Amino acid sequence: MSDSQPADAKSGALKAAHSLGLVIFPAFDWAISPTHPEREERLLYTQDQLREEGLFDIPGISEHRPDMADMADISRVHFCPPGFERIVEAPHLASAGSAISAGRLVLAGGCDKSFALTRPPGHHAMKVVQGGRGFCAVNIEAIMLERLRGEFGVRRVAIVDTDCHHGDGSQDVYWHDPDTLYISLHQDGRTLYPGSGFPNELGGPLARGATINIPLPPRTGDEGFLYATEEIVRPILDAWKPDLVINSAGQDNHFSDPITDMRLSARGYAEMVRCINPDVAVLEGGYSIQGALPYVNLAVILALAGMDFSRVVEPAWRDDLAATSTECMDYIRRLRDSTLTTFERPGNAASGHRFENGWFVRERDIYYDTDGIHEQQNERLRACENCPGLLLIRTRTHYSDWSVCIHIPRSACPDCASAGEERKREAERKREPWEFSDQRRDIYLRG
Amino acid sequence: MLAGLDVGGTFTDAALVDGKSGRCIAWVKAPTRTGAVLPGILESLERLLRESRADARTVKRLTVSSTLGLNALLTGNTRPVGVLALPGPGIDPALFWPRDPLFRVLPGAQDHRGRVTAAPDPKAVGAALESLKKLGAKALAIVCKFSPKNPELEKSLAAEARKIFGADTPIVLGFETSGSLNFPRRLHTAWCNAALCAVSRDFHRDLEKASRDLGLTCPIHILKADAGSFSATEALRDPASTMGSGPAAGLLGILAMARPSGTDSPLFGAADKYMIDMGGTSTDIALLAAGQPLLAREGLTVSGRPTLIRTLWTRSIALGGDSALRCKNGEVSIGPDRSGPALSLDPEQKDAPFSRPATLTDALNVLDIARVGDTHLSRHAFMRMIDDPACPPAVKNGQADPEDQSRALARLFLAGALRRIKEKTSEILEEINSQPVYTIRELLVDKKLEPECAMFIGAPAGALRAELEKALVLPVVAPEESPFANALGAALARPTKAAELYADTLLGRMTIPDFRVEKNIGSDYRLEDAGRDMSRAFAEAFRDEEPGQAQTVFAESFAVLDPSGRRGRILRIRSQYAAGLVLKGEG
Repeated sequence: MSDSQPADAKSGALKAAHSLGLVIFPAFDWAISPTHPEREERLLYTQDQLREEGLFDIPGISEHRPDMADMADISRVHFCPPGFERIVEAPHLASAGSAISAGRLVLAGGCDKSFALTRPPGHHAMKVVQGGRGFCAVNIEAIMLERLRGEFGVRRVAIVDTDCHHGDGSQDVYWHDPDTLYISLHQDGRTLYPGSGFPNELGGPLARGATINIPLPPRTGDEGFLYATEEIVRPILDAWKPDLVINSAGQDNHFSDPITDMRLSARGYAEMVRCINPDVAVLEGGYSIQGALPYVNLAVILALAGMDFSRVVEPAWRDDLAATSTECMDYIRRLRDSTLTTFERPGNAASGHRFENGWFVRERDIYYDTDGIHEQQNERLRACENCPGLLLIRTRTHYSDWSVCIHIPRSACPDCASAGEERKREAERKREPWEFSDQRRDIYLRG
Repeated sequence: MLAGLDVGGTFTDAALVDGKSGRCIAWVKAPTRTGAVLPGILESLERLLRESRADARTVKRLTVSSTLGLNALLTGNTRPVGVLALPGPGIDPALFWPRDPLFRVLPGAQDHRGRVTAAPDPKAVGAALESLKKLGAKALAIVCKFSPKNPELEKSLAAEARKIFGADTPIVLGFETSGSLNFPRRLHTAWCNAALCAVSRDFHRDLEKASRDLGLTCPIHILKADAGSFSATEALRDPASTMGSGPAAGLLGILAMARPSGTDSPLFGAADKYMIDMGGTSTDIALLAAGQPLLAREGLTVSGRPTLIRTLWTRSIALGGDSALRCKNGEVSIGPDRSGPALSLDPEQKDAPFSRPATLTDALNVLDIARVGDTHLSRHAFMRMIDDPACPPAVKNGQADPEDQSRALARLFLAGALRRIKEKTSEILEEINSQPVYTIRELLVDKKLEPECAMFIGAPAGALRAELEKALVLPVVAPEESPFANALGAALARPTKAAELYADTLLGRMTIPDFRVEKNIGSDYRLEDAGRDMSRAFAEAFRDEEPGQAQTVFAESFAVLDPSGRRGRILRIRSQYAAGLVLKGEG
């Protein structure tokens, strides 16, 4: 609600070049634990900063209430052998719902762009959810995207993840999806959680090249990030031509972030966002809640709205932080050449899968750091020439026995679909716990 | 007894009201003189006391709703204001401040917790002040970002300003204008207060003297845009809040007029309701939420300046008794332009063809819902419209009598007008009910505004009441038009106040900017302590009043962890005395 004379109240020179809808959901009454980095006060200062800037008086910038996501939204993306009711709480539904609301603002709400400033984050949540990983329970961008696909028929979508941590969850959800380009810029996995996201991770055997990883060395600053964005991300987006671009906007590359080691500034973030030019941005990490978030979020909002952000200078900024070392820049230049080459010709570079009787197979161990759970996975993808392929994931943890997750993708061919149906019947016959997801018909069952 | 004064553009109305029953004892109307409101006020007060033969000493309070401040701003009859702005990091103030040679942006900043992150540069401050003085600034506004959380920087600059400008120059600090966070609006609000200081001081001095001369011994209150009043002393410090009180007086007046004597109708209790005011050109819709006037989320906009002045929330549609009616390609359209008074009221329109379109009032005449002016002229206009090829064909279906056809056409226009109001009310509810929320609890327990009835005023209200009731599917009450409603509303206004409290135990600081309260706090300061401090601030400020308990709008406590690992709390409370009538059983 604005005031009684909305037209007059908005001052003249101040105007958003792109109309921007904001969904701000700080979840002031929820935390993982009182001292956890992902706690109540995380968006408090951001909210105060945005209010104090008079942001919502700017013509073209509007604030919107989030919808709650429901279990159908979650099960469109995830398998959850322990049962969603044991993992998913109201805050996760609210956070995913905020992302959905943001997406709808762009596709049906008359906004050019939108940004969901919400918590808790989601990009470490994988296709199978056995517990919490990296402060995430469910993947809020994927939940938004699958809802938008169902509602608006969006097909080719790029997710550009600018969180400092590799978005291994988002990568996993879309690993076998040739219609979703996942690009992650992050601090090198050899130096930071979750320890993945290397250039040779390029997507599953039937979606090669739809996953792009750009690991950057510790202490990369504005120059390095901008180079990587302009010289790697931009050309790939231009070539791939997505219908929709989503930014997983993690603000923890900031020089003041306590749990990472990068040197990006608020203005650097804003310039990066201007270059990526996303339609929808969704907040991910960022734990320098006083020194970074108010400024980075403000600068990113101004960049999304097409406004000047040059005066958003953090109190702790020092000019000597600006430089990115020569070695670092040399490394990023080499990374550009190799990344662009592999993107153009993903070829037969190893995908980590072995081929077995018409199936691509991989075995994985996944650790859920929030809950201390070890998961063992056996993943089988039907080597199909006509579609992304039926996906079968057998999973167990030290708490639970094997169960099978059957995933029929949105664009599955009839053969893959009937093979999936058959696998479900087999599980029922053998009394094996199963979950079944048929994206074509939007049907999600478990037994 | 209570006295109310409403200074309008044309008339100054005064009313004497029985404080217990809300009944109007006497009222008078005197012309408002251009350029000076005081003579009109004096004349109406003097006549009011004389004609009612009331003893001036029995008047317990005089409340004035005046356009003085607004007019002063609109006509530029204000002091030149020098502005010192300390924006710190963020949006460039040049983007929201009008071109102004007296506006100075200075280094020095506070962050979102109110910590000073950059000290002001004494040389730059001195130079700015000297140049403002040279350029003729007669009042100053000093505003720092996040000053409601810590007035330190503003105060230090004010001390410098005093040295250069002396003790008599009004200096308004952003901290004093409102506890709400919104730097651009705080700048504009402080600017308005600084600009109005002198004119407001003169007005109050004269008003005080004049009322004493008339034998009035009561406190003088001024009506605000939020439909509440405050003392003349407070008005001197915050003159901007008195702007835009006209609609507020009107709303209170309707509430008072609509009070059915001795009934306990749900219409007048705590129900949510619409207040629909149909004038000639537009229909304004305001809302009462749980019996209290709903206020705009941010504040009043005065001559292009968005401020933090609390004001009624209203929405308008370009639809009124004078809206032009037209047929286009077999469809009817109403407005958005105004055709002028109804044809039936226009002496120029005796000879057809009519030089302009018929109006909604003419349609009501045709339908016998209203009888305004020479209704024959209205009928005549409609006879011509049904002969127009653009007239909707449905009008002629199955009826040969042109009078029936005219009525059918008028019915279409009326239905269209009512549909517009209905659609606007739905839109308004959607807008209000989709306000953002910030906690899981609010998201789960979603309280929505649901009006149960509507109050309907304005010239066509009596005639249209039953029709609107059908269209809205809600009970609609149309209180009789009253020439003294605004003065009555002013007389019955209650004092209002909204205040925010910020406390940060790690910084050891608590502020309530709206009461200009600051204090040091210990690490054990809790929400209960903050609540007590807030109540005390209200009690002290309203010693002479009997407004009852302040409502708490929100009270939040955040666990805070410093980067160094120290734990503390940030507390935020917003409390208010809400607007309403002084009468018992209201609001």
